[in-house]
This record gives sequence, C-alpha cells and structure tokens, in this order.
Amino acid sequence: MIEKFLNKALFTARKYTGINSEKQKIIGVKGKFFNPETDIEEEYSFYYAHKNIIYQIDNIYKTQNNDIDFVKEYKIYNMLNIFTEAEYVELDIDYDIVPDNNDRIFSLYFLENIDRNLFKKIHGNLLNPHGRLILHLDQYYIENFEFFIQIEMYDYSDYFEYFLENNFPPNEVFLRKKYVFYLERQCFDKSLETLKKIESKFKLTDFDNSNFGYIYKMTKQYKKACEYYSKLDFDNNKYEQFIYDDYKFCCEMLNEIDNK
Amino acid sequence: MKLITNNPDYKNTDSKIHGVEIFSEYIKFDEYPDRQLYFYNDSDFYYISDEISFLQNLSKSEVSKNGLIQLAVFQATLYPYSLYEKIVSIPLNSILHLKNSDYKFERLSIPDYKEINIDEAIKRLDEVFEKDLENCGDKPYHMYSGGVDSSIVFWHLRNKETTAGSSIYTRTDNSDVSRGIKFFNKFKQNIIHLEPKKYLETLREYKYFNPYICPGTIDDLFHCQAAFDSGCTSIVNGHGSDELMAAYLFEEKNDMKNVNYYMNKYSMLKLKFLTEFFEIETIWDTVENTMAPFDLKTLKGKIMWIMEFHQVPLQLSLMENNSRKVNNIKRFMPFSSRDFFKIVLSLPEDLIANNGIAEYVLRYWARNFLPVNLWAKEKKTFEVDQEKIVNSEPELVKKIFYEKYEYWKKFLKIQNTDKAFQEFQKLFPNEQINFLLYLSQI
Repeated sequence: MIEKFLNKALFTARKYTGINSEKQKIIGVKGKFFNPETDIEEEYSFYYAHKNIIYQIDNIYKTQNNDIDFVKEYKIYNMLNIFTEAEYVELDIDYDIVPDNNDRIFSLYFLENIDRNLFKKIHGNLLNPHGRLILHLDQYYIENFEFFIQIEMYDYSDYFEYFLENNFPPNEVFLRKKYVFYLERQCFDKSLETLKKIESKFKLTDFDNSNFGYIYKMTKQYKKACEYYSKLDFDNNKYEQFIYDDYKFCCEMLNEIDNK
Repeated sequence: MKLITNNPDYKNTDSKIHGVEIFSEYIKFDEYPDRQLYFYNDSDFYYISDEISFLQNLSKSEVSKNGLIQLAVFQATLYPYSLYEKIVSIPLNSILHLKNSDYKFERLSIPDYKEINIDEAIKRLDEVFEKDLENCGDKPYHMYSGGVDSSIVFWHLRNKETTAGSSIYTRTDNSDVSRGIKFFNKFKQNIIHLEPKKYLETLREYKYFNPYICPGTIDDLFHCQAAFDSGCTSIVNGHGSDELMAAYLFEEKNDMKNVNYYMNKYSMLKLKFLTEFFEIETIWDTVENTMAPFDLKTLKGKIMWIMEFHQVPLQLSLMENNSRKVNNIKRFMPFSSRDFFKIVLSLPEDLIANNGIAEYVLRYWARNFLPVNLWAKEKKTFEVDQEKIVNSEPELVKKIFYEKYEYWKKFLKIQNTDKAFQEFQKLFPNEQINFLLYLSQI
C-alpha cells in the first residue's frame, strides 16, 4: 500500500457503498483534492459502483473560465443517461479516510507493482463512458474486459463481460477474441461455450471450425472433433501442419474406439 | 464560375471571391474564403478558380495518385495536391507569391483575434444567428437530428412555419429526434427512412462539383428534394459547429501526424486495403506532406486542420449543394458562417471545450433556452445503416462497383475488376459504401 497513491475520493465512495452494492450507483464525491490516479486536482470525482465493483467514471476540475455547477449538471445528466438504472448520490470527501486493506479494488494504492502507464491507460479508458459515441458503447465494455484480463483482475473482467452480454447485441469480433483468450488459457469449457454462441448467431469460419475440432480433441470427444475438422477444405494445403496432424489423430482415436 | 488570372483572354470573368485579396505580386487567401479554390500555372499565365474541371480542361492534366490517396484517407484533396497532377488545392490562410512564371505558397499563422469572455461570446452568438437567419423566409426546411446544434438552430426558427426534416437511419435516431419533437411541438415533420435501393441509385447517379467524400451528401440530397417539393423557402441546418469547434478531435492526445496512427484511427479506407491499389511509399509521403504544416498539439491548431480538409462541405453549403441536381433553394447554416468562425477563434480554448464537454460555449448559451436533454446531449456522428444497404442490395452494389471501377482501374494498381471486387468484398459495409462514393468522384 503506497500512501501517496491514495485516492481519497474513491475510498470515500467505497466506504459509502460497502463491498456489495446491490443497486447500481453513481457516487459524486465533492471536495477539492489532488487525485493521484488522474494527476488532476479535482473539484468533484464520480464513481460507478455495483456489486463488489467500483471505478471512477468522471471528474470535474476548475479551469480559468469554466462554471463548475454548469459542468456538473451536464455530467450528471449524461452519466445517468448511460447508466439508466443507477441512482445518483453525493458525498463530501473524507480527507481522513483509511482504506480497508483487505478490500482489493481497482486502485493504484493496491496495485503497487503495476506499470504506471498501464494503470493510466486502463483508468483513462474507464473514464467518461458517456463521451463515447453511443453506437459504439459496447467497445467501452470490450476494451475494459480485455484490460482487466491483462492485469488479472477477474472480478472486474467478469463484470464487464456480464454487463456486455446483458446490455448489447452479440458482437462477433468480441466473441471470437473471448474464446481465443480462454483457449490460450486452456479453459476449454468457457471457450466451447463461447464458440457455440458464435455458431448459433453467426457463420463459422475455418478458424472457428479448427478450434472447435481442437477443443473436442483435447476433451477427448473425437467424433465431434472429426465432425468439425471435416468442414475444413484440406485439399489446398492451406492450413498449418498441426491441424492435419490433429485431425488425423482424432480419426485414429475414433477408429480405435470403434474397433474396441 | 469564379476565375482570377493574368491571362487577358479571360478579362471579363467574375474574379470577386470573398476572402481573397489580389495584389501586384501576391494573392492573399484568408482563413475563410467562401469556396474551395484551385490553382494552375502554365508557362505564361496563372489561373485560380473554384471549378476544378475548368482547370483540368485547360491543363490537360492527368489524374494525380497523391490526390487519389488523399481522397481515400482524408475524404478530400488538399494542398499540395489535387485530383489532377498540375493543379494545386489552395491552402486556407496563405499567400501565393507570384514571380514571372514561378510561384510559391506561404502559410500564415493562426489569426490572432482579440480574446472575448463568455458574456461577449453569447452576445455575438445571438447577433450571428439573427443576422444569418433573417433572410431564410417564412417557410424554412430545417434538417433536424435532435442534437444540440440543430436544436439551437430550431429554437431560432420557432416563430416561423418550419418543416423539420429528420433521417431515421439508426436505432438511436428515433429517440434523439423525439426528444426535440416534444419540446418544439408546433411544426411540420418530414421523416426520411432508409431505402437501400433508392440510396444506392442516388449514389450511382450523383455528380460532384468538387471531390469530397461524405456519406451524408446522399441524405442531404433527399432533404433538398423534400424541401423543394414542399415549397419551402430555404434549407437551414446546424452543420459546421462540430468541425469549427473540433468536437470529435478535442480529446485526441496522441500524435496524429504519426502516419501509422492516423491511418489506423482516422483514414476513411484502411492502409491494408489501400496498399492493394497504391504503392505504400506514395501513401506514406502523401499523408506526411499533407499534415506536415499543421500544429496538432493545440485545440486551435486542430481546428485549422479540420478547416483545411472540411472546407469543401462547409463552403459549398454556403453557395449550393454539392450536386447539380438541387441548386435552387437557398441555404442558411449559421454555424458554418465566417462570423461564427471568428467567434470561435476569439474564444479562450477552455470555452471551446472543457472537462470533456464539446462545444462548451454553445451548451452554456443554449442552457438559457433549451431543456437539459437537448443542451447536454452528447455528440453522435451522423451514421447511415450501411450494413442494411449492402446486405439488402448485393447485386446492385456489385453492378455499381463494376460500372465505376471500369473507368478507375487505369489509375490503380489492380487492373482486373474481378480481383478488385474480391478486395472490395473484404471491406466492412460502411467502407464499401465509402469506396463506391470514392469511385464516384471523377
């Protein structure tokens, strides 16, 4: 825990919501302070909280000519326009806040070993979801899902995945990325589940069919593996050698089972 | 046609162009000439005109590869190139030095207007709107999207017999428009829904004055026709503020002059596709040479860059639609006016964009007369459901591609139309439509 990285507004908001906020909340924390996570002296900072997840979504800082109340009205309207089920609450910052060190949330205070640039990138990506073009808002959740996977904060990646799947139409590119991610980590069940979703909604590519075959091979379902491998066009020598080898292996295993 | 030349054969042509001053040894173009201008210089005379086709006939110039690349990347042709090899697109805010048969363009620094505060800005905005809309007649046709800009314009038309024309093309358009409809409740409405066949047939026949690619021009034409058919006195819209206030670029913090970065994020057609049609070195040089003079680190620098490549739609709109089909209805676009641009350049940067809020000063002004769901509405680009168009009319898409590519292929690396069509099919639907618009430019 590094004291100089303590975002007091974040922990003020966390203290208010507790570790399990059943309802979606947007918490506006009022009070000037230097936020080490944005490197900005903020007048207000805003957090989104739901279940055990909490992260900063916006802030307000003074400039020479701006009107803080006007900026605040604009921001609250737009945050509630995106998080339509959330309720807004406002708190004064607790300058004497002491974080619960067992509560591992996305904060620089806890992530002492993280690359500062990577943290900034993720934190920057979480900010201002309402500023994204609403037609492309699913990208916000996809990018954050991928970032949290990268730093192995799976509570957060799972949350973004859940939110994405329950609020947006299926996204072919994302589903493909997701199953490859699980496949690389040998999570065959999750990978297969995602591939099946692609199969039900979209057209399978050769890449998908070979991965279906591979997963069924690894889970010893040789008949199904052969079924998917056989969809590939093996006549033109266009695949990597290991795909041929895997197909051959599955066919041999299937014959062996049949012979028994 | 406008023409400035030292060739005595053309001494009776109209050479008065707002924003252009002629001196004995140089010509000055300010930051807001009222039209896109091109330059051609032969061994005897120089010519400056708004009709690129006239200069092309004069110069017998070949199509320029650099110009074609610029069109594919920036959607427009810019200095130091144009669509034709011997013709140059004239840069804004510059001086053309002429000496004997030689010439040289010198770019000027961003004009330094006296800074104004928010109260002064609001006073001037009121004046600009009053002045710009005073001649739009009693029955204007207002192109209304439901966003803050067109809502501001709508409020200024509230006492007229306004027709609100809206395009409902995407899943969010309807809710956007309906918010405004509730507020401005007394007016006629003209809703345009997407008809893929009509859209494609219009694209197929579209004729351009100036090379500039914008999918919105097709939609614009539909509204122009509707305005004409319903006897409206003018067309009014809120176009221009996004560009003049850098609403889509103000938060860009990366180096946009990095060619790789620019191509990945902003190019209309992606690098991988373009390298099938052009040499990679030519693409690189073209993008670098085009962007080199711009300081893209400051907000006003970004605005000058946007002005340079958006000058075609902004300025054409001041004279007529970019089509020979509809040119008899006057247009009024207060946010594209010279006066509005002067206000923007007079503002401190934190009144143009602030705390992630695009068009800060406009929203601050609009809070006086619009409800929060209109003045605080986030920006959304105009989008057409290209997927629907491409998927519902694949044969027509193919036909248009083959018709247009036949003429284009002599300029491009892929000479075989079937092979080019295979590459075309790898594009996303929006890119396919953009490529068809691209092929319509010559």
